[in-house]
Amino acid sequence: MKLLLAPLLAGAIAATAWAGPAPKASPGERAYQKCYSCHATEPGRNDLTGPSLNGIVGRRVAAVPGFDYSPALRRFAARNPRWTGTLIDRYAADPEALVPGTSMAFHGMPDPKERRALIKYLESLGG
Amino acid sequence: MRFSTTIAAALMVAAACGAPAETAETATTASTQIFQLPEGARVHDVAPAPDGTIWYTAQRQGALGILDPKTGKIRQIPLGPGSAPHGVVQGPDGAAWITDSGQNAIVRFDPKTEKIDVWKLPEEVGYANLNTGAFDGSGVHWFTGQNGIYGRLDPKTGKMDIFKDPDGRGPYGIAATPSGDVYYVSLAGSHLAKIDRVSGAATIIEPPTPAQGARRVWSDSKGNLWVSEWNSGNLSRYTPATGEWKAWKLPGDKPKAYAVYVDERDIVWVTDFAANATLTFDPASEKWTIIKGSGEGANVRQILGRPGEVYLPESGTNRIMVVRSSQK
Repeated sequence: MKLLLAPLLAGAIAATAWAGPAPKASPGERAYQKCYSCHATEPGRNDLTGPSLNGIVGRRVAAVPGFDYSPALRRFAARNPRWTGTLIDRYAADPEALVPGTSMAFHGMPDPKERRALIKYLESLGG
Repeated sequence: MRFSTTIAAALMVAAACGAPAETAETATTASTQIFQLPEGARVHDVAPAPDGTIWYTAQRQGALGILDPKTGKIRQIPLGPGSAPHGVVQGPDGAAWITDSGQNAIVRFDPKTEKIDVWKLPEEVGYANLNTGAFDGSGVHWFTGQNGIYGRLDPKTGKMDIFKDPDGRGPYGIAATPSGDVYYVSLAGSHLAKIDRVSGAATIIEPPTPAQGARRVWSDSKGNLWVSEWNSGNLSRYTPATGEWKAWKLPGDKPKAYAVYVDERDIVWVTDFAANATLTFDPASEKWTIIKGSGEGANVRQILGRPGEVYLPESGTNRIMVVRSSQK
């Protein structure tokens, strides 16, 4: 058993306290904060609830080796082989509408400008 | 829209931990009622309201829903611009307290006056991905944010404090024990944590299964913590008095345990996305019963109830299933 004490931040918020966006973060980085809790951007980091978004643009859908995708996303992948920018845009806007039964617990990003910024940021990650 | 049925015959029992599902009938009888919610609401969490109605978060429509199970009547109360509510609980003041990830705020709805109060998180925190809330024994509201924070809001003063989770991203379910202590779990951090209600510090308590993905937590009447483990598919129990852990694998193939709740009989309810089902677990007999979702991909992400009935919000079908049960 590991016992740790959380840094106490009551009343004062330390600059490095959490993964909130840096003050000069780009619109895309800020948009990514809505994905941050479940998706890393480091290549190969697939130990979170969702797979890494590194290289997601153009990647095959539901194809990260060893990742336990939902049946809904696997069925979706049979009809939609790759994550194009357009497909990511639709999924980010309303995940449940595009992939009914998806296990991804995200309510969607209704602002098209925010989604464009997100996709631009994801493209910049390369992979 | 309402559907009612008695489902005693549909409840299946699986013999003890780790065994595949069998089809013997259980001694539990239950009736269910299913309520179809307004199109596009995408229900996420539910909570019993003081007047017998059921609150639900309409995550896609930025509203708090109010369902009267006696009449089937449904109303939705808009919570504000950009709202995307995740969790809802009833506070000791009888109000609905909502963790609103869209507004990055804690929202209170007073059912008597229908007044809505909004407490935004401090700007410098950034987007917290607010998740779930619970009240401690002193009436302080504690909440989690999946981007790596937890916090408290004192309803008496409106003062809010934000704390960093020791492991970063992941804080998810949160619950209070009968003694008023508060624990939360971290999905990405795979830990349980006890909060010091005075200092706000969190003490991490690691479950024995590595990288188990502790998703939600609930307390039984003795103050034991029940944890649904998303990655491992386990239902686990932590006993604070002894520090002991015990885990049971959900029956079925590659289970994915999401929500957990303990009813007034200390029967544990847990949802399994892989089986598209909600299971009940009797710790005394170690028997499981299975309640299938009302449709494909029901995806019940949270469970709550009151004595005699349990609510299953089906995010995938946009329905609420009410289960009323009794032991023969």
